[in-house]
Amino acid sequence: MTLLFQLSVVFPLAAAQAWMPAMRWLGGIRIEFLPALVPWFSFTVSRRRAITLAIIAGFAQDALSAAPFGLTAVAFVIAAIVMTGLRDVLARELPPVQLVAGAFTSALAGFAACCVAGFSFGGLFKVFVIAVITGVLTSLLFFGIEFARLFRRIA
Amino acid sequence: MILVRLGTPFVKLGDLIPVVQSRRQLAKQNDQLRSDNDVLRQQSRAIVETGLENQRLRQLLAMKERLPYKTVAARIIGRDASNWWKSIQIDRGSNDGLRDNLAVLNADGLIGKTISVTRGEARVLLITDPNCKASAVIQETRDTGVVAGSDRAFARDPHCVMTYVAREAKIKAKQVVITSGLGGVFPKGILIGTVTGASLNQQTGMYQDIQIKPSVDFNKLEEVIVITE
Repeated sequence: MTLLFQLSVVFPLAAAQAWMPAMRWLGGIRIEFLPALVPWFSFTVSRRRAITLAIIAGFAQDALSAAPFGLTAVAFVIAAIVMTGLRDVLARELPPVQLVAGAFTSALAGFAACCVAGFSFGGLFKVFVIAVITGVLTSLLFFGIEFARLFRRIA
Repeated sequence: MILVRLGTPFVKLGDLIPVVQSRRQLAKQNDQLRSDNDVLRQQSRAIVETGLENQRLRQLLAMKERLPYKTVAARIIGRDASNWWKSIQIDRGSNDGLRDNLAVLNADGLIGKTISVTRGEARVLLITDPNCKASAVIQETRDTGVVAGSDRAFARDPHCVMTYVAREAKIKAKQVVITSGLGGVFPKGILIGTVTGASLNQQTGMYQDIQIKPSVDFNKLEEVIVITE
């Protein structure tokens, strides 16, 4: 997988994340795609590239947000370092592992945001809910990519 | 006579040829009409959209003319990519005279303030964000306070809270809240929203916290006005 292809995934997803409206039926939460990408990079590419892509994904999200620039990038990098360090001992092809990895990345980004915006019980619950949603999205992302690879081999 | 009778079926068959041809032509014409219909429907939708945009821009223009300030109209080109901040991106920047801390509004009322301005774009922190604070006054009673976004984690529709309102103030639902002009960012008299409820501050009990429903529907924002001077 070339770096260009990986970058071509990051930027459209960042734009989609900024463009998509909040889900009012879920209390105004919006889906975050970029935290789901970080585990994918961490589990599939070299450590250095995974960290580079995590920085780029974090900066892309911060550029399209009112968050202090670099805050999400720091959270994504920490997540990438932890996951690339543990990937040899993790059964990374299993959906529950992918779910936890996505939730971990999202939770780290949420905690970083809470450090700036302030902690509250509601805020922590929101971190949990968003982490679960992102975890599920991460598993779906891995499944989708594997399915696409399989389809390409068959075709 | 016999030859004429034998030839009749062929003559009739020959008469059918134009019919067959016309069916082909009809099918072709049908395809052409379907295609034209698609184009016209698309144009019709575009005209409806233009009409709606025209209506919104007329409202914005009317407001712009009413305001005694120098203003810049802008389109919204993006929302906040994060779940933790409430902001929007607009298509005007420092090239159009924008800078940080300028009031942003539309025909319905106050939207927020500019926080980071580049040459061609600017980010607007919405009044529903807890970090965006505006000095406000209740129009009827003239009680003052500070309006900021609610920090409630889950809310279907974003709302604001007005704090530091005197505990003896008589607050009723549906009272109108406007900007007071203090603070230097938001000019006086911009509509913020209406009161939906009030309670004593839970931490100190020294003042009231008033729930405010913003007059602007933040889920349907498309064009805004920025007050530059």
